[in-house]
Amino acid sequence: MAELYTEWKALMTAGGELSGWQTFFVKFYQAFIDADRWQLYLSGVGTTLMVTAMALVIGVVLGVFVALVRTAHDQQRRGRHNPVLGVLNAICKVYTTVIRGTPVMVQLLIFSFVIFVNSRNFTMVGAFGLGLNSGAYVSEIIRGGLMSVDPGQMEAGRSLGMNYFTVMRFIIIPQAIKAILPALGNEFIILLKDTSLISVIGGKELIYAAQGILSRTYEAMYPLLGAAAIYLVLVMAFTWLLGRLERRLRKSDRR
Amino acid sequence: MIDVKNLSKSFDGKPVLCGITEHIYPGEKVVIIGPSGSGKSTFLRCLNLLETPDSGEITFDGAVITDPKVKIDEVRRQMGMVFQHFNLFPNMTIRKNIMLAPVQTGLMKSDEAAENAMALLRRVNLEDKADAYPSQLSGGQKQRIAIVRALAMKPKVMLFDEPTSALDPEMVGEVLEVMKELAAEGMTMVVVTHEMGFAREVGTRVLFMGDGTIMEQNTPRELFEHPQCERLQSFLAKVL
Amino acid sequence: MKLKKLLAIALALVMVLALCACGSSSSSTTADSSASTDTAAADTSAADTAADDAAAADDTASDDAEEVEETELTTINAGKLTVSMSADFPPYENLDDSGDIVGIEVDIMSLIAEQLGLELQIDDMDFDSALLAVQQGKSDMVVSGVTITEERKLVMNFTDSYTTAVQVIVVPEGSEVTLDNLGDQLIGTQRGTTGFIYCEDDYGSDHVVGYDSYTLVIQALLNGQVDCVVMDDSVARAYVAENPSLSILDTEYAVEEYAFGVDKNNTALLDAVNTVLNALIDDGTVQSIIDQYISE
Repeated sequence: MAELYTEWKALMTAGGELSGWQTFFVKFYQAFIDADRWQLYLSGVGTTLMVTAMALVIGVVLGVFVALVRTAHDQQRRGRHNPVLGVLNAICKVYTTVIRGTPVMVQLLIFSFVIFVNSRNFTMVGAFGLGLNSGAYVSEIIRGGLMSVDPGQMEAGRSLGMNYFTVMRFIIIPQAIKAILPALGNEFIILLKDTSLISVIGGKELIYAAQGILSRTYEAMYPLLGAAAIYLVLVMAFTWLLGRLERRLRKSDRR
Repeated sequence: MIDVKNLSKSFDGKPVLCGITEHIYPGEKVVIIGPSGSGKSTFLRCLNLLETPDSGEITFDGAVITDPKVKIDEVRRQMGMVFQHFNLFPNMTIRKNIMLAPVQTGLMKSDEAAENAMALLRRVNLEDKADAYPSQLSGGQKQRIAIVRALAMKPKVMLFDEPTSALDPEMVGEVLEVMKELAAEGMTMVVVTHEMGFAREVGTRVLFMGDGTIMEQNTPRELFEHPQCERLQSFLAKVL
Repeated sequence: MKLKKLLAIALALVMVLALCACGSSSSSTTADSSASTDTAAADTSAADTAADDAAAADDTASDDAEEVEETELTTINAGKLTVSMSADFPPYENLDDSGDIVGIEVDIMSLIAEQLGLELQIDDMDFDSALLAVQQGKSDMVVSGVTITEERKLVMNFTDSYTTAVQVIVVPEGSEVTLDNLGDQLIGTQRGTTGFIYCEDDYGSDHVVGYDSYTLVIQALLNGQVDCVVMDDSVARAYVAENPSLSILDTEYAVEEYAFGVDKNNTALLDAVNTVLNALIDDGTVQSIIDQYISE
């Protein structure tokens, strides 16, 4: 293989004619196998998955918090507003408005070049930025899920003398999850693909690896198609897992 | 037992309750009737503060519950409520539906609550449904469960918000039967309903509401047989 | 269930294959067109000699040459010389305050285009894309401070070099970075530049961060997010002039030759540009343009 590559590559360099599949072989070999480049993709995928996981955790924690604050604020009895909740709600509102109102690319650039100017861990800054971004969307997903539960459920729970958080925990959230989960899965997929953006701040994920190879081989097609195929496989694998989870939930839900 | 003074409430500037003053004595079975939009459901929901009154004062067992400092959860534990649409928790079994509140509020230990739940289910002849989910029950069964779920908290008063309005006609009887038994046991009850037969049979007092006020009240017999005001007369003419 | 899984896998395969199919068809056209280049080169050899003559001759003769080029030269957009460029590379090319693209290479290219009788059209994009554009026939030339390298020669033709450039090391004031301890530093570069490739080769990718533009690299250096930046000398000087807290190390990292990249399939254009370019170099025009931007 390696000999064939060297031979044909030399032929190509000299301007010799290669058949279609020989060209394909040379370019494919050059993009994925030569100089152990597959390792670059592999470590890129590793970073991509790690960043996705971290951003997801940050996003979900933040999203749940923001959603609970905003829902709790909106569900206060009239005329009995908790001032602390009011302030928190205002902060959460500003947060979701700003995050959802600006492009994630701009947010990442600001994070890296304006806020975390002393950090050299660009991947972590990227993960944090994406997590913060995702949190705004997750909070809206969760809020939507909580709102989709019949208000009679909250009334019934409260009328039995249970406090707000008990009702949330045992009655509202378990029912909301069924509405939340598919949307959350979708957000996860978007997040996975958005990790490619951290390459602009020096995060060495899959696209950074592919572009590095691209700029060495002057061949865009194979590294980019390779990266695209990897994303596709990741997303499909995740979609499948999510489908299984949903099926299991539906089984337990005998409504 | 429940003392209501000058209770007013409006939604988006539209008055729904206009200064209601009323007293409910222990052991009374007060039935509230009236055309839709008369404010009877809102009045009932104000009694356990599911709706916050704009003004006025409600006293329950000597405590002013409209005071913001009152722990509303503790007040609600003593007031059972049954809703038109049952509002059972679809994500848990019937047994869990009944056990949840007593256990979570610390009223009972888990096994005590489970025993209590089974006793309550036997009382409404639904012990075989303990492990079923609400979706597997008929409307009448759901409402009977909803009643015993409220009873599980051992309340001092029961509030019923049109408990039979969402039921198919053939299921109304079984729910009213449970309510009659409850009344016979001496439970204090406030019932918003369109079931005039029930009002006549069980009620100790009937309130007729219209335009956010109590227009007329009397014993069932007097009210139904000798309605005084014109509105009540025309209302009764329509429903009887 | 099983069937669904199979279906999903099959679908994935079909998609991937479809992608590959698109890919291979485009690569085969490249092969085809490179075959046709030979004939094209033969055709234009006459024009070639004519142009050579013209370069040797005086102004009026070069006017003649211009007419010859006009009839012979084919470009992607007829009558236009389409140039891809990453305009963040002062003083070679950058955006001025009014958003126009200016710089040494822009001035040289406008002279070349003028003499070829073509309208110069500059497409601004990032550096990687600028290199790719000329490979993929989206532009006639890439003019972006391109260093001649063996790898690049595989995918494009280079004109004669018009200047040499030095890769220098930019450091913040008071830095202890030297050429010798470069391997211990985090080096900022623009991805796809020779600086990026050399540094990755010399020090490993853990010590190199590639950004999309020099502006971001310099910002990272100012923030202290990288220890130093490896970049072209003249560009470095422009950035250092703007940022007094930065300085350039005296020791050079590498010396390179700058040239323009030309569509590999358009040797006629290569020859024509070379002719004009050499004339401009010989009569000192190129040097005076460079001097105009870079004053030592």
